[in-house]
Amino acid sequence: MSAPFPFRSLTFSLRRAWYRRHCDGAMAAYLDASPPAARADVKKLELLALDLETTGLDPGTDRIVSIGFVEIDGRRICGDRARHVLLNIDGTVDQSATIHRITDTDLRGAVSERDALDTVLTHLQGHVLLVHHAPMDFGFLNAACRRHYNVPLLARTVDTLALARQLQERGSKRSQEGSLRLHALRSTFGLPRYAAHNALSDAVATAELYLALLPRWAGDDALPLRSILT
Amino acid sequence: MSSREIEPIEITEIADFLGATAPFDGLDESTVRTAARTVDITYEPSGTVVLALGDATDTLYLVRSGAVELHDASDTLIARLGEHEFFGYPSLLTDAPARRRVTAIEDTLIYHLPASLFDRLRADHDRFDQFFARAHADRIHDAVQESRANVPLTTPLRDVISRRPVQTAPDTSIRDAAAIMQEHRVSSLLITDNSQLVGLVTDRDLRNRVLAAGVAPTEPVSAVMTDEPWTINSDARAFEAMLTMSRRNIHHLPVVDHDGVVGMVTTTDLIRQQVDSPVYLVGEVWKQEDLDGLIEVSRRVPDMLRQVVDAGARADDAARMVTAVTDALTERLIELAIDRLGAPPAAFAWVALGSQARHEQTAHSDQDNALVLGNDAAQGDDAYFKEMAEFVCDGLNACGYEYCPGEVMATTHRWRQPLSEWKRTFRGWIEEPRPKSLMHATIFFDMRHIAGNSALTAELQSFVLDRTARNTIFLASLAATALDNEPPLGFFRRFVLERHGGEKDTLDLKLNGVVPIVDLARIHALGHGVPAVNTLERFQQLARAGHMNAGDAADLRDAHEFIASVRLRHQVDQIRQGREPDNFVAPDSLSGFERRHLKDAFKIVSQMQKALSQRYQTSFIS
Repeated sequence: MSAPFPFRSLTFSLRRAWYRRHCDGAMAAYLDASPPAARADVKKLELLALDLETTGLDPGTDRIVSIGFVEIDGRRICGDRARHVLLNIDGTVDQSATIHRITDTDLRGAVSERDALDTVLTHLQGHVLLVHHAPMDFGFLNAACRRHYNVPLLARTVDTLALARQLQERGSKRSQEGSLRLHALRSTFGLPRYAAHNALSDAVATAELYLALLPRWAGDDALPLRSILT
Repeated sequence: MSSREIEPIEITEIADFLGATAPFDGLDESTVRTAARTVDITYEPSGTVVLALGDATDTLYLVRSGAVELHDASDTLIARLGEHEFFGYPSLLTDAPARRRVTAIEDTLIYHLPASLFDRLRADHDRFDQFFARAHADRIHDAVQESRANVPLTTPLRDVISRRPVQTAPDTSIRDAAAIMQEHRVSSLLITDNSQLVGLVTDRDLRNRVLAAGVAPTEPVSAVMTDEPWTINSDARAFEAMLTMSRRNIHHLPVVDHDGVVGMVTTTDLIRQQVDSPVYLVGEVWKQEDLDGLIEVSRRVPDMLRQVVDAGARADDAARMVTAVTDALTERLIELAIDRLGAPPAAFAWVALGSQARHEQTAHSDQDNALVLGNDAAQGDDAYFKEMAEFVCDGLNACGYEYCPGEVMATTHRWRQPLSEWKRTFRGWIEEPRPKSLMHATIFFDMRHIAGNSALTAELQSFVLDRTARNTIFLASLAATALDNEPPLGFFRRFVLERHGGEKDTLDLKLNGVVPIVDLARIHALGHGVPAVNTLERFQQLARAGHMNAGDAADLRDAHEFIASVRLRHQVDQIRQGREPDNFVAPDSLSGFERRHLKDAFKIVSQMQKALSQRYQTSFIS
């Protein structure tokens, strides 16, 4: 982004303060916690790698059916801080079940969208949100947050797709169609193929891709968060 | 206001990968899933030092993808690990800092398993515990380059002798000589003439040959010294020095190399290095007065082998120890034969062939030997040597060295000939080589003197080497026979994958492992007139003389040592289980580490075979 750092930072704080006055519950607690500083070295920050499965591509009409996330502490993915949650969605469960291989057994563990969002917000406190192809997932999260808390989601966000694209474009050639898909990128950076496919798998896949991108982006140097924010 | 706490869950990818990795594959699913919940992941770009020497670690590392290399403090490569392989467990097992530097050689994804999980699984699951205990032992063992320091008995003498040799000239007076010994606080003095060793004087000599004999202290020391004392080469191992000393009943042994005397070893120097050892067995061999006694001693060879291997001996050294006992048994049998048959009617040399000649015997070795007689041996003398051969070969068979299936033994008339006949035989093999007959003859090209007149053996050996060197047709024929034994391509599941795509369920570590390397060494040695017979020495001399690329030679030595060590451990396992040792291993009994390194070793051998084949165009021969 071209906006100078103080201006951007100020806007972020002002927006947080504004939204804080218009919400409650888990969103209020989330907005009360201090966000990661834009000047901080990302290698020392905590991130929440997150992925969603949805019933379609339109955040207005489609719904989130599952959320997976795992925390990253600096340069380490913390396997003991992984969550996977299925969401109860009225009416559309049948269709989504076939798409996402969600079985009846799984559905017994499903929670309401509000509970799922509460959990995400609790774990997102003080964390950088890490997603692959942010506009998509962010659109769904924003829409859900507006429904439940009357405010959109405001988070420091890093997008591995955007990072990878910039890296590839640095190397002169424009990125090839399809080469920026999560699994294509993973194989480009020597990461293993994953057979399983659910929101948590993809969150972990995104987290690993992020760790692989970091040294290519900055080597051993400190990397201020603002330089990779989406 | 979260109304429902959402519990942490294991990451399926981690659980699946753990479940497919030994020894987790032996644990039940719920244990694996619980374990997976504690795993952290890091990404290490190629070139990153994952673990530095001396780092304290509380993590078991598992390579998820990519590869790492382990180096020791002297920067020697210890192992290269890939997917499904662990490191860091030696520190967890011994509670000591890292003794290996671990470096990513590819972009590597690493799973970190906490020490608390490792400890709990070891406590709860015997198989899990054994897996790492065994892997730990293996890796110590396979730290090929550093094992010498742990095995004093196999230390080269040059590393045992600590001080410079104390010496004086032959015309020094006895009193002055004694003063030198006092000054340097040594129990023996080397007498040298223009840096040539001419004699040796010890404390005991001063007592027995000077004081007790009433010799004046003004006399030159040369009057009372031991002339031309036994010496030993600085390349020899400590245990070989002990063998020589116990054999000769001496306590001081000058150590020499090509520049002359470099030092002295004494029984006291070596005594602290002694474990229950081949030295003892060889000493026992020399004490035996009959075959029954020798059989009794030879029964203890497998146990000795097990002990030296457990003590961490290199395969190379273990083979030398076994061979040392065989040599002693052979020599003692020849002496017993002469006691029984009377003095030999003509000069003779008893030679060992094959693995005994190469100092490469294992727990499962046949006997291969021959007799070279003096050219003056009369027709009628053969009866004597036939009886001697029968006595010795029967004796060896009774001691567990089975008769050679191809009858390559001194009992066979063809292999019991005067020197001139032997030369004719070798000339035939060398000058009119036929691959078929050569295949049976290769064993004769590994020859070492055991007993009798060593000049006969030496003359035959130099005759052979003179003719093989640069004899392209002979070498090409030999190469053609050698290339029949190919190492396998690798492993697939529980099978050995052969080059032509076939699968076998056992690996012959001798025929497809050791033999191809031995053959390579032999061909290059004969081709360049290198006199060494031991495979590792052959490579060493070939490299030193510039006949072989030093890197290739080192690779082949390592490949040989590794394959031989796998074979040795296999045999020791069999001995431990009270079974007859053999050369056949099932691939699924090999660890991932062994499989990977064996595959590397096979690759080296295969590449060197290809180079040999191209060099001699062997495809035109057979």
